[in-house]
Amino acid sequence: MRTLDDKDSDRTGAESGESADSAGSAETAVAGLFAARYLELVRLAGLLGADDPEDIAQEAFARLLRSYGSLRDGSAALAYVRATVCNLTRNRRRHLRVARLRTPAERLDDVASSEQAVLVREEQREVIAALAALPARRREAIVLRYWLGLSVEEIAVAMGISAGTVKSQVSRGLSVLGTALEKTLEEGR
Amino acid sequence: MTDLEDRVRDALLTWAEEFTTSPDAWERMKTKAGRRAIRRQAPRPVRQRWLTRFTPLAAAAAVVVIGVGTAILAETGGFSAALRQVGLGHSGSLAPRGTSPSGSVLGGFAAGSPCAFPNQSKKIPVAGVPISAKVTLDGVTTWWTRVPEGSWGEEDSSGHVRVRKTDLALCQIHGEGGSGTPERPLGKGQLVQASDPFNSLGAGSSVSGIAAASVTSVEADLANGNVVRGYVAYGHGFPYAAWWLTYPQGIAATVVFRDAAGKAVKEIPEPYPPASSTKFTVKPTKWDPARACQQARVQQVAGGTKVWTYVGFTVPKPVQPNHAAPTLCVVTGIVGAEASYTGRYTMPAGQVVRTAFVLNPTSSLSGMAVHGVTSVTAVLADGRKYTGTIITGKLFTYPVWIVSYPLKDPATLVFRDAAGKEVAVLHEPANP
Repeated sequence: MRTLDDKDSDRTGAESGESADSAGSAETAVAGLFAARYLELVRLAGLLGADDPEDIAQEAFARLLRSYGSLRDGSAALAYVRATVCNLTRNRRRHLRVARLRTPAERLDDVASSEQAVLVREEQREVIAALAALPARRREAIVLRYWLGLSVEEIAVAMGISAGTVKSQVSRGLSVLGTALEKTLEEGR
Repeated sequence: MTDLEDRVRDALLTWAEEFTTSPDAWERMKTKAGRRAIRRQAPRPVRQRWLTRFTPLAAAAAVVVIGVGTAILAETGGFSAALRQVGLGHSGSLAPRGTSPSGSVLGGFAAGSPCAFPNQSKKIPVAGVPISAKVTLDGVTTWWTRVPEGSWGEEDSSGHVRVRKTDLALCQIHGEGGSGTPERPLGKGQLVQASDPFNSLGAGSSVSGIAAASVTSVEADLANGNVVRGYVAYGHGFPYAAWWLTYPQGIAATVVFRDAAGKAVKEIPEPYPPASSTKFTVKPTKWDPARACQQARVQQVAGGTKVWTYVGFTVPKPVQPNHAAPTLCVVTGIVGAEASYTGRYTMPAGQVVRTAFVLNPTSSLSGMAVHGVTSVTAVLADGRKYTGTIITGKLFTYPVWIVSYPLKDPATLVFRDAAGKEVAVLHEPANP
């Protein structure tokens, strides 16, 4: 059975000896999924904290295209690419954390433009700030649950953890978010 | 579903809207997939035999060169001495600082008066020792001059007039008028002397003064994180550095002076605005009078300065008994400073209404729009377009709009519906 570990995704169609016809059908299938889900996966990567969400989503689809023949069936493709986005984003954030430790903080330059740059409602910004401060796994669970609306089982597959762990991650994540938002509210009084 | 879960879902939905895709995403993805496949199929390059032999030899040669160089430098007294020999060390001559004196621009200054302006009396002869600091920015020309020593009466904060002796004056000319300020020489051990902030420029706060000659730069570190560089000039025979800077009004700043090594030698905090003009505290949480308006906070970056605007509608009771017209409540201010404007506006039937908040160099306008409006665009006379933002919410009676564009240009604000049809137009005159 095909696992969702993206290490396996490095196998190429050429290596697995697929015929030209199966490669063509794989591309057609991936193109359909791409058209339907690419924006959603870009946004998933963005919400999980990727600095270049499009790059993450493209890489996930590229891996899917190379490994499509080894999937157990076409219906697993979405779960596969979703899990790959989660894994790639986690790796990317880990890399950035190390890179930032070695790079001094940049100083803000003078800005001469007059266009609007930021627009977020204050209340939502507080939620987003609290969400961004969550540990990666909890953030993933919250985003998959409340943004994508996935079931516990689907989240478990995407994150590669058990359903019980998903429940505890969501519950603890919400608890931390609630505490953080209450604290913000109290500071505001 | 709990309230917290609803809030998380709403926030995620809004946040997700920020992420968009590029039109060539599919092609780029296929390139990625193809590149990886090609790389995997490509044979591993064979390492050249000569390279494996040459690398250790090159490393050994480098070690020898470093050792010999170190020995030579030790004999000659190190790097500093070596540099001095070619004229680049600490004892080498520095490039002349400042600009050359320009006596002609000082043609309106009179003896016994710190400043005399050309449009006031052209017959007053040149007097005093001109120094080179002259800065023109935003229509303001600032000169420093050294005048014959005299006495100047100055009122202190308690209302007492103190007589001070000085031979130094700062003069500024802007538009039709100007001002002159006598300046004390620096005291013993004093590094910097600053004037009171000069806020009559319309757009910026101007601070100036003199500093020890070791000061080489001045900057205003603004509360929003931006840095505004000032000017430092030196005059022939003038013992100090003359400095001047201007920064956007309405924001707290710290004026920082640095020496040639970049070290901050003095900092002067410049809070804004004065306590007497405070209306509301910028922090929404301490802002009680209009708490009913706090349904949304919009943060913009206008002219490099972060500006926030609260928009919303007053509560139905008791402000709007008998289903009276909804009232827009807007408070705008600068992040880290004070709110400078507040207003409540009644929505005329079938119209858009506007409020204005002007911030150099940007006009930021906001208001209510009729239902169905989904976009607002400021169109300037030369065709430039600035897209604004429409904010809607569960508790909003009408859509609220905000748009920013360059301050001095007249603009036409065009409001459109989802089908792109023009719903309303506002003509905004130039804001001098």
